[in-house]
Amino acid sequence: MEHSLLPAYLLGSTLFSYAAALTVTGFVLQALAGLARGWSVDRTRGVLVRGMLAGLSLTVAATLLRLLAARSWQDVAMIAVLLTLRTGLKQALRREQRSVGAESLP
Amino acid sequence: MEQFDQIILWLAVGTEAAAALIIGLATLEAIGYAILVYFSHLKKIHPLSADGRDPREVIRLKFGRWLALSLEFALAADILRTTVAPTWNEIGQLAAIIVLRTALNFFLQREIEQAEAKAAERRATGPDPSLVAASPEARNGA
Repeated sequence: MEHSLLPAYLLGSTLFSYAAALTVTGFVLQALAGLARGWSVDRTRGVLVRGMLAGLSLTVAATLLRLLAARSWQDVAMIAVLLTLRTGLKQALRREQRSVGAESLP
Repeated sequence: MEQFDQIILWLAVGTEAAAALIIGLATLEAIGYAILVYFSHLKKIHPLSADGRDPREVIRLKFGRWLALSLEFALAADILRTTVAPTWNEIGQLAAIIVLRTALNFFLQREIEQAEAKAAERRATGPDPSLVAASPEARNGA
């Protein structure tokens, strides 16, 4: 039963990862288009931070699904480091969002 | 799936290129402003220093803001790269960029706050007395 679910975990993790990549790319393109239209640096940063936060939430979900499928210490160690990094990065970005948030609004 | 991974890696490269382009353009802009300030004595009439701040400081902070933006793009590129089968090397790079970016943002934010505090202090000491004496309100009052 447990092994039959492994492919589903891995597929879910892959799909979440692709969704995260698409989200980050979408916001990067929006930020670049905004810069071309003359947005301020702070507003552009705000858009990028929002995109990265959304993308990171999805990658954290993907990493958790990978954790369910992890079977070696090497995998577990890598997932633990990734989760720690992504969680720390999300905290840093949230703080930054609060500081540039007001200026980043259209 | 592998083709999709390849596309994401290309997107990461494109995002990094955007970061490099921003650094290049910001450097050119800063050099241009610095040359203008140096040769034209624009301390009073240059639009960058309309609020009375030292234009060199304004150029430095503006350049710093662009650098912080380019680091955001670099970070987005690393997030993209690590969504696809991350290696220990890429994880290490992501950690280094997070530390660098956070430190740079911290010091930049502190400098901006110090510059704003100085400008507020200048405003609190009141406008130049010679300008007040020459203003229409002052003349009507007299």
